[in-house]
Amino acid sequence: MGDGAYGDEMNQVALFENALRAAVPAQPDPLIGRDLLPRLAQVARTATIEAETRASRRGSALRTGRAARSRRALVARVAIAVGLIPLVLAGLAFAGVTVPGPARDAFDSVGISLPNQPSEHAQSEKATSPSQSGGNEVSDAAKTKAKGQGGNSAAAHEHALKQREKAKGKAKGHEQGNAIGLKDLTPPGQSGDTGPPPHSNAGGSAQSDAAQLAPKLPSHPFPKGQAGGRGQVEAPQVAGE
Amino acid sequence: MSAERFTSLLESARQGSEAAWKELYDGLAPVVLGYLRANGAPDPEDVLSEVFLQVARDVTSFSGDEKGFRSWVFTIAHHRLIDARRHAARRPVELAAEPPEPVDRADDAADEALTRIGTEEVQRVLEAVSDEQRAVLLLRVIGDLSIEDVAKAVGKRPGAVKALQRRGLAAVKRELGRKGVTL
Repeated sequence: MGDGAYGDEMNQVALFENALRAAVPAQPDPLIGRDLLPRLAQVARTATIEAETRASRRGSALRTGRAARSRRALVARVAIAVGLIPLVLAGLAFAGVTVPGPARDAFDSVGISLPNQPSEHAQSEKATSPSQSGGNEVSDAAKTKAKGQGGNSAAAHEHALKQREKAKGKAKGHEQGNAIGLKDLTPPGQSGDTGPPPHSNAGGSAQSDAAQLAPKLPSHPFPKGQAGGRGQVEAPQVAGE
Repeated sequence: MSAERFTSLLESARQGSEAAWKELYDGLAPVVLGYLRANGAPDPEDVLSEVFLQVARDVTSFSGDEKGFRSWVFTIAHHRLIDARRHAARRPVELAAEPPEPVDRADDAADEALTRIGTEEVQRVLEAVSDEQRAVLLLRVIGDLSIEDVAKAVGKRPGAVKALQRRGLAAVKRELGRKGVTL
């Protein structure tokens, strides 16, 4: 019974739908169609031409735009890569890695000192730094010191002469024995030079140098009786050594 | 109409063939006009002209078969119908809608009178349902659109369209039972 009622309802709805299909469509005024159809054809033709023009324009614009985009993308990639290099180096330095010297110099030039870098770099940095104040200061200090010594030089020189005279008697043999060929040399302290003699570090090895220099040097500044005899006696011993 | 025939007809219409447009217009204008009238469009034939002008403007962007074309045209008709309603709502004086003209279906006067009576009853039943339910029922029955196509046309989800259709048919059944309409 329910099915029958449902079937009746469905038939009713189906009948309504059929009536709807039959009743709703309405024939438009023929005048409308007569005026409208040429316009439709014209509008469609214009729209098609515009669409084709737009498509070709879009295609060319797309090509040029794509090329420009690719160039911009390339430049951006390069810029990003270049910008990342300092960051990577700084990161490595923070991580404790010793970065290469040129990279450190580049950072130093812009006033950034990288952490965790070896102290050699700091020393060399001081030595090679553009300020050079350390070097100048050292040289100034050295000059000042020299000047100060220069101020005391008369007394010091006399003291040095006394010491030398004193030492002459004690260390004559030693001095003459080692200084073969140096008998003609001007002893330090008498030459007037404040600096050390050029062969002061010669020691034993200064023999050869002294031997070479001996003939070129000027006449003997010492009194003849002091060094002459011994020098003649001891010279063959040293030469034999 | 075969698929090839429709494709060539559409291509001719794109190129501006008046004969092709006449064929398309004759096939779709009656149902579209009936849809507009049944939905209470303020000036149905004016809206019909706007619908076909937009179809002509956008026909280059359409791709699909005959059924898709029909669905597309009804979607445009629905949008133009909404625009016309909004426009009419802003008008200070509302114009009276013209009486619908049925399609020439009967040969003699008796059949024509019967069709007219049926049309009046159908319109009375349609007035009993809401605007949304009526739009969905007409697009489904007159436009022969699927649930998905109707959903696209009215801008709702398919589930909502199904619910509207179900409630609309229930209202139609109630109205038919109440008035004892015999179709």
